[in-house]
Amino acid sequence: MKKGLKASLALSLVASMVIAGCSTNNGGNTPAATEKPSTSNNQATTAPANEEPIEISMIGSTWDVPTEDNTYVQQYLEEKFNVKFINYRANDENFKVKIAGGEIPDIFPHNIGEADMVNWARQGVIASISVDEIKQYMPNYVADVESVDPNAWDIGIVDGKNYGIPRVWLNGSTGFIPTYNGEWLEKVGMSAPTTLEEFEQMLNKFRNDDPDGNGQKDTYGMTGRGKDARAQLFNTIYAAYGVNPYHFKVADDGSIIWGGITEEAKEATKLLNKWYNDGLIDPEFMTDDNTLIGQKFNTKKVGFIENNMYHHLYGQLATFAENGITPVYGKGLMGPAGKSLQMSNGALQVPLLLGSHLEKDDAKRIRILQILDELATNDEIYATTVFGEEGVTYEIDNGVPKLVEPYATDADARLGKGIGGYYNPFVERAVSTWKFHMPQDRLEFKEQLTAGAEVISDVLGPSVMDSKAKYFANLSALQDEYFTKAIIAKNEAEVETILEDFKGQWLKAGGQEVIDEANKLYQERQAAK
Amino acid sequence: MESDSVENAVQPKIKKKKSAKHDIRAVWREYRKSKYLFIMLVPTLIWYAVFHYGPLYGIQLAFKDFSPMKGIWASAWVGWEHFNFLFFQSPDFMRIFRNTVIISLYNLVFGFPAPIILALLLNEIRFGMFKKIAQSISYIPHFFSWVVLAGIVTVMLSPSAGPVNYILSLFGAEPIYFLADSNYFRPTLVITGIWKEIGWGTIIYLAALAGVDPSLYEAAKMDGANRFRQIWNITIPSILPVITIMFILQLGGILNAGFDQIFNLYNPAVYDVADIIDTYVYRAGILGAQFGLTTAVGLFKNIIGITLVLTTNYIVKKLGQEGVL
Amino acid sequence: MKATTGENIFQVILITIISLLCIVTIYPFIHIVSVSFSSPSEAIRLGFHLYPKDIDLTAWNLVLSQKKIWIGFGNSVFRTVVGTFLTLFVMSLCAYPLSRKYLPHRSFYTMVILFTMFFGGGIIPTYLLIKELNLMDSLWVYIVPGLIPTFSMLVLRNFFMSIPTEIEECSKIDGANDIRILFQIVLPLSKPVLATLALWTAVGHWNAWFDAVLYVTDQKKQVLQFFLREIVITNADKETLGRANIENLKHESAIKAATVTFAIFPILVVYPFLQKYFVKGTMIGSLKG
Repeated sequence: MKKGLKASLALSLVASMVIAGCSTNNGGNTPAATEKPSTSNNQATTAPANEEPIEISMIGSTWDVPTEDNTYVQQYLEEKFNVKFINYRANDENFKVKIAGGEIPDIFPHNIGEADMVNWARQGVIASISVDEIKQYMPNYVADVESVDPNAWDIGIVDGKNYGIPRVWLNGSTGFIPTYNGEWLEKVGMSAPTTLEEFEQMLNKFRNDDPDGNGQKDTYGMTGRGKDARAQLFNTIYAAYGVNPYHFKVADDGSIIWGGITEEAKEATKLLNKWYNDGLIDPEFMTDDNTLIGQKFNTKKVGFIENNMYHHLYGQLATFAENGITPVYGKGLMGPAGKSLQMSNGALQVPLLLGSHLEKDDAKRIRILQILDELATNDEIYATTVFGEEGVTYEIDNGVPKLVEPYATDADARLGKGIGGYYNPFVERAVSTWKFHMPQDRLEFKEQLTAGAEVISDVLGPSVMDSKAKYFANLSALQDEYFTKAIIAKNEAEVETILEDFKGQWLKAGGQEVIDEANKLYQERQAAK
Repeated sequence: MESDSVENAVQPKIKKKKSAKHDIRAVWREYRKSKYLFIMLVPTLIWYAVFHYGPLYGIQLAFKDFSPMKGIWASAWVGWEHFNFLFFQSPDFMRIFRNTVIISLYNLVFGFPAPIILALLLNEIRFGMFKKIAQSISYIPHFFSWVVLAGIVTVMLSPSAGPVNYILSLFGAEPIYFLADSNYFRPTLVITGIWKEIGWGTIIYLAALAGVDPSLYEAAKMDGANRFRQIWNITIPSILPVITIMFILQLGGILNAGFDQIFNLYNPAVYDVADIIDTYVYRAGILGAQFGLTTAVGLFKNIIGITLVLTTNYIVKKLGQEGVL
Repeated sequence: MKATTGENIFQVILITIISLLCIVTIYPFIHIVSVSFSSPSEAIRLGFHLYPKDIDLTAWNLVLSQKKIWIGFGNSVFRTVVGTFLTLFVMSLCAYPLSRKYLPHRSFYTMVILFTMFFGGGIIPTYLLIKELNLMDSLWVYIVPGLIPTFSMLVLRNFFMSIPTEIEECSKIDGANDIRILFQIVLPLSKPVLATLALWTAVGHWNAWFDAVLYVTDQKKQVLQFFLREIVITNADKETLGRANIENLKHESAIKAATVTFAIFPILVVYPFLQKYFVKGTMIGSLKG
């Protein structure tokens, strides 16, 4: 039984690596490392025991800060690697203040924003590390990352130098899943739409044919995240046109263009405008946020949502059941783009950063790189830092570690052991250890929702751009306003005028500079391949 | 005559010396007379020196590009760059400035008197129990953060499911999308703001009302004054010192138009009337603009604030009231 | 007869208006309490929530069973009680001299203090200062840096200024010094204002979280608001498997409501006790005496 399970796990692991490689690899050279079998129990490269333990000021995450020192995990790691940890304590709000006050750790939290990375790089707060050095001392991890997206190295480059260890988020390469109310589909006699035409049909029926059967016309086809996440607003429709108004994409002539000023975005908006004027879209989309959308779907006011990725949906299964809803999942809609597409945020994330003083301390820096490689890819070490002690805090269930009570529900109990992202900033961020987070049912769920789905995402990822920092505060507000006006415009002609006007305004207000810089960046990356 | 002028020439000099010394000694005598007052005051001044004047050097960040590695003193000087970003790089600084001022003025004109009026009304109630309960209930919304209240308000004002529009429909009116309509958004802000703070605001005025001598009312009643005369001629003048200081100090915060409230209630459909200085800075901050920009914005707001306070204080004093200074 | 009827009508109208206002202002509280006791499907129902149609105590169990809630509660109580008392004391020491018109260079000192209301060094220098003074991770960091809220102090000062000067003159003739006058005569006369400022200060302490977040990393010294915010974030976290209990996710709305209620409730209970200070005519009798 176990053997078969291991085999199927290994198979699905390879399968997901291949799929991930296919969808994000733009034809660049896949390093030979992809053929390497999943790394299992390598010998951890422990330092010679008679050397002085090196001190590491650690804060892998601001969310899982242990309350006590010398927790189980801390002791385990100290012994394993012959190091001594200085537990740097901070949270999201005060971390930046501490940095400003000069308290700089060796290992930074994994959840940093790209703007901070740029600032800190220029201010000399973080260390620049050569790509070759990372490749040399973190071979296993690098192989992992490059198998997901070889472009991961691009994100960490500031002013020509590399500033961190690249990170990818596997979930990030999955898309936002179109989710339908199964009971409603049945009532109106449809299956999940696969084209824009079918989708429009469904919207009409959801709005006019009383799908919840209460005799009142109080239901809508859909609403949207008009208030708190504009990039997700009507993302399924925009994806059917091959665009997202808040992403960079490659235009037909090979240059980079901003989604918001493309013809595709305009056409998609015209369609949305038509639906809005037909009364198919909930007019309150402008003030709906993530919470309200969930509420409206669960209280059967709308029949379609698109603000969740598969792991969100996995977590909401209990809620859907509680409210008597059978969710039906789609893969995307066929539209002018010629294929079914889902929008995704992309797998690229801001790299893991190290403190600038490590630029001078070669031995320590190299040691840290080695340790990080183990944390990310060594089964035993990963399992211990993320799950704790077998038999005490977790058990193997279905081939996968599963936390037991009280550790499963009590966050403090976990922190008491030192479990979590604090000592391992690569939680759920490395392909080789992905298997630990995928119990059979979750794996199947993911497969069901994402297999065969094609995604579009921002071609540049979370990139460093000076013009962004300068202009985006205005440009994004400008875009939000104009697109809202366009969607609720009186007729198609008005949509045309509004969006043409927007294009002009946007370019004038700094957008042109942004596009120019984006193109330059893109050229540099293409040339470096 | 000549001796006179010589004397005169000498005298003034001596007089000056004497009066200078005399002045210092006079001052010292004044201080000694108020010795106990200073025994009380000086420790508090020390506290202000340590906790408020000590950190004051941080203001220079408004003109610097802060680098943690260099610290505040050694960070690079960038002059007016942050202010440029604020005023000139935003294509429409006039808009956010105008929104900020207009919303603040609405709040001042409508929001400031509201608790005073409510306090006066509560003061007139004769049923003690009811009055106590009403007071306790009235300040409840103050304790909710706008994160929570915005959720409630959004549903209450919903054009489809909200009670306010339901009531409107009973009168035959069309539903109004308050939170997404530029014409209604600012009034909505003001009214919900009053709803949240009115009860809490009455507390200080009720305290002031408690200090009014009842015998004054007795005398007025005997002179035949009705309720409104009494309020106008006795109550209001008695609590005017409290009113003026509350007014002056709140005027100092005029460029804070209520970030929390606006941030949680606004959406792109109403940016044109609701985008204020702080929301702009917040967006800029997300993209990494740091302590320098926020210090610069704070400095700008504060300079305007204190100018207003000093000006109003001057006017108020000319009108014969106690001010801030 | 006529006057009484008119008076009665006035009272009726008044009470009606005030009652309507009360209904509107109490609604958020009823809503939140109701949601906190609601089952997951009831909690997310759009519309009025006057009482839970479907009762579920899970949210309250989850919130109250966390030990840290009670640690935070204790720290918050300490901070509020000690902080408010000390603030009232020190504020009076500051406000009284500034209220005496004969204080030498009175304008100057007032200006110096007023200035600090508008100009401050910002987060970083303050952070460095706190570190320098060894106040990090100490319960006193909640009290000392914020000891004198200038706005309140000025309100108090103005109130002191409105007390008739005859009272002071009488006492001075009797041989009392300023300190005695303040504590034995002026403060007792200032009960309503002191009660108000005590309430302002206490609420400020009770709701404060930013200083806690900035200066305190020792979880044993953290305040209630900090843990409450944490609970809402931790229990609603959807990102990482293994960190969140999926089952709890459906109770998310109720949990948030319960934490809000728990934070507000103590204050609502305290105010009625302070009301006795808001009694009319506290000042009469002093002159006649």
